[in-house]
Amino acid sequence: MSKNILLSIRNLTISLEDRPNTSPIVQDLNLEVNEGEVLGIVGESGSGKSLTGLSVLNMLPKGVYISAGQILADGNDVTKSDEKTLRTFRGALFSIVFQDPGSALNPSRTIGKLLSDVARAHGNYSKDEIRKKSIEVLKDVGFPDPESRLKSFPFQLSGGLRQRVAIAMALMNRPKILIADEPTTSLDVSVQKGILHLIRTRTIEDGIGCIFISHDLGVIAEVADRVMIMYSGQVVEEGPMASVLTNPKHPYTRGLIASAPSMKSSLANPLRPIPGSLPPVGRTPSGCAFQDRCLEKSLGTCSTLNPTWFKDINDNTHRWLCHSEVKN
Amino acid sequence: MRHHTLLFFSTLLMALICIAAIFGPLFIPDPLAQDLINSMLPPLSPGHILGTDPLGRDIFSRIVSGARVSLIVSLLGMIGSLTVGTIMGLVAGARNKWLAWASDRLIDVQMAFPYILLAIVIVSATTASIPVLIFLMILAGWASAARVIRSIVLSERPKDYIKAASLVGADQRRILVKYIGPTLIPAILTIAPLQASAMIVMEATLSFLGLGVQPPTPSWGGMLLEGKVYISEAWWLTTIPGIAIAITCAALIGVGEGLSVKLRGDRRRRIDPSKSADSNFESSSKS
Amino acid sequence: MALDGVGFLIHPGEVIGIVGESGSGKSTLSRILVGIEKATEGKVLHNGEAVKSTSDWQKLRLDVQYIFQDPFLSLAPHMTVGQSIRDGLDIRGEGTPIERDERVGKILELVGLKASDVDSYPAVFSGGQKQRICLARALILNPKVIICDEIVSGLDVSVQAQILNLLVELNQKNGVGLIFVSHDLRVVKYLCQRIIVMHQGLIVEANSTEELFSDPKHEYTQHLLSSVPAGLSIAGV
Repeated sequence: MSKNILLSIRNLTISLEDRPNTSPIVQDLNLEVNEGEVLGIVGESGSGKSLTGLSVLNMLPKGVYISAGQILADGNDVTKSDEKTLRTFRGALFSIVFQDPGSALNPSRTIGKLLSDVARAHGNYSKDEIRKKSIEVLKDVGFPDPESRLKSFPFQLSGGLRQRVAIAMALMNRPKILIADEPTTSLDVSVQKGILHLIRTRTIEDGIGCIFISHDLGVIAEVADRVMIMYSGQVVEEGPMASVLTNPKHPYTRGLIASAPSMKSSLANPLRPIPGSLPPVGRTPSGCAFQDRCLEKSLGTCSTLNPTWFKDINDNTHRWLCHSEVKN
Repeated sequence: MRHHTLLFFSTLLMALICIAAIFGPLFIPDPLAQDLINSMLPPLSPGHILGTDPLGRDIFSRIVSGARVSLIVSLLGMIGSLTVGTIMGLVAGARNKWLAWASDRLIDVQMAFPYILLAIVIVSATTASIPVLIFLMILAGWASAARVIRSIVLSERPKDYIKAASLVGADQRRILVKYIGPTLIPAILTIAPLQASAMIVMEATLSFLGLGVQPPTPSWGGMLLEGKVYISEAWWLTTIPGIAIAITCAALIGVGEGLSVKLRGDRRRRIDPSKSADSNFESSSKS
Repeated sequence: MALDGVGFLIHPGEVIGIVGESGSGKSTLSRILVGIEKATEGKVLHNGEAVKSTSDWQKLRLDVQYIFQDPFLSLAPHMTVGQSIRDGLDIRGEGTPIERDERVGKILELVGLKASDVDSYPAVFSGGQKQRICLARALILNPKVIICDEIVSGLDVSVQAQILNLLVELNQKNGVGLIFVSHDLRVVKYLCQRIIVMHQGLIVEANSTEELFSDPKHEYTQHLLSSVPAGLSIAGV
């Protein structure tokens, strides 16, 4: 079965308004998401991962804008669509789930109303149709006893249940693309497990293309098929989840793995933090963006030449951005 | 208009008024000098740019002298009111429940009391003079200042940095003075000009009612009182002191508005290139 | 009720972890230990004696310090970093002002910042740096135990690792005991020798780290362990 590409982003560049001389916040980003696949994007704050997710819906905050690139959502170019068209896409062609379900759900609307709002925004349905659909989608997201809970308000639900409602709202109109921006970060660990499982199941069963954004590599490892590591606005490594984890090539990816505590770590096997901190916004150094913190750099090249793409000989979907002098 | 412009011009205007009030009386003809031949002259008459009053006294000189009274009463009144208000506000925000309750009730009483009545009682019990006026201003203004201070103290108290202060050993006094104190300054700076402006009007009102500075000392309210009966024939007797009051109030309010916007700062989330990427995009809590 | 009949004991130089999900009462417990919150019943013992009056608490705080979760809110915005750190020393009148300034400079370097940061205001620092400042403020008082209440939860992984290693160093070199409160079992496993698991206001299990992970006895502990994302275990670095 050939995989269908649902989302394709080419040369995406996101820049700051009013500051023409600063380097962009997201630089020349390329990605593809296939049907039934979860692409994880890992990065720390300032990596541009959230902005990348928001740009798919063309919902960037004030002060930043898409200065170059093309975003094709199921063949539609989002960067060239007007606001009216974008509104028909949001919630139907693609949807987003945010980090904090508490503030994502309107506290004055019941669950039933929230779901019907989403449905009505994209078509004329009768009350019965909506009710049926709502119960169905709530069942799909593992919401217990939906019939009796349609009249509940968000404040009556726990964080995990609220997030399930948010996901239900996102899936209501059977989108092709789902953006999940740190959906489990503010949830308890035991609740997180359920939500990760849910997102993965729905992605595979409904044939959705999902982008899962997180700063926690451990979480991404549980949910993603492929992963993209971002640093300071650029993709520095990408590939199948298992390959990148067992055989990380880029020094930043290695640094992330070495500095993340896992069930294997202990004081006998100390964490090795990445030294230094992110470069200031808009002022990435020339050459490689990661050079000041890289433990494996080669002095001359890394500060003068822009890094290039390398591919793993055993798996050419696993690639990373570096210099040949650096021994990967 | 942008707040910088407002602040600049209001401050400039206020400065001019103050300079005129302080130094003006040295340069002008005697405001008390009567000249019955040249009485009731309209503005732009030779030698009397703003005209003369029924007793022939130069209006311009009287305005300048009256400015002194208005400014002394309102500025000293403002300082006194803010001092008492801050102290009472701090007490009202104290941890000792009884002190706080007592202070709260005092504030409530003061705010409920009809002000003019109080003024009449006090002036009749004592005399009408500048010190009494200043006392009345303090009485009128301290309660609203105290309320503002109290609300700031109560909202800052539960914050983590205050708890952190008590963890390193700070006692209540130190917390109030060193930790909460500086947060009060922007509020005080904002209320001050607004209180002074209200006091300009209050002084004029009291003088107009005969409870303020007594003739022959010139005061703007007194000029309004004297000119009241001549409104139809000699409009300038009341209009000119009225304009003086209005301009001074506007200048003070302008300073207050400009300062309050400037001190509040710009709350919008802007990308700051001087800060690192992560402190620009960090959310304040991630757990 | 946030806590239900909880008992707790810490020895010098130990690193204890308190782990639990939201509503477990772990933060409430840590705040009660240092007097920021009051227990409805029960008492805190310092060196064997009950802590009751304000001066008792002040004595306890000579030995036990506490760091808040959100560094943005726990530093006074109108005071410089140096002033915030120095205040504890000023209050106790330790040494001359010049000596105190020197100590502030040294402690800033100890936590990985620069002595020249002393005159900057908290606003210019990142979250990780602010936590270091809070750590410095607690450390300069030479406490025997520092309670860290979810102090790395809002930080990036690489910054978190820096702070964790700093804590390890402080414990091993300076002998400072730590009570580390967190919802993240992975971090607690790395840092702590003993772990206390809390659930809905009760302590459900307490054991050495090794034993807790290899042989969890309580149902909730087992449930918690199985929920921790384990994907990174296959990572090779």
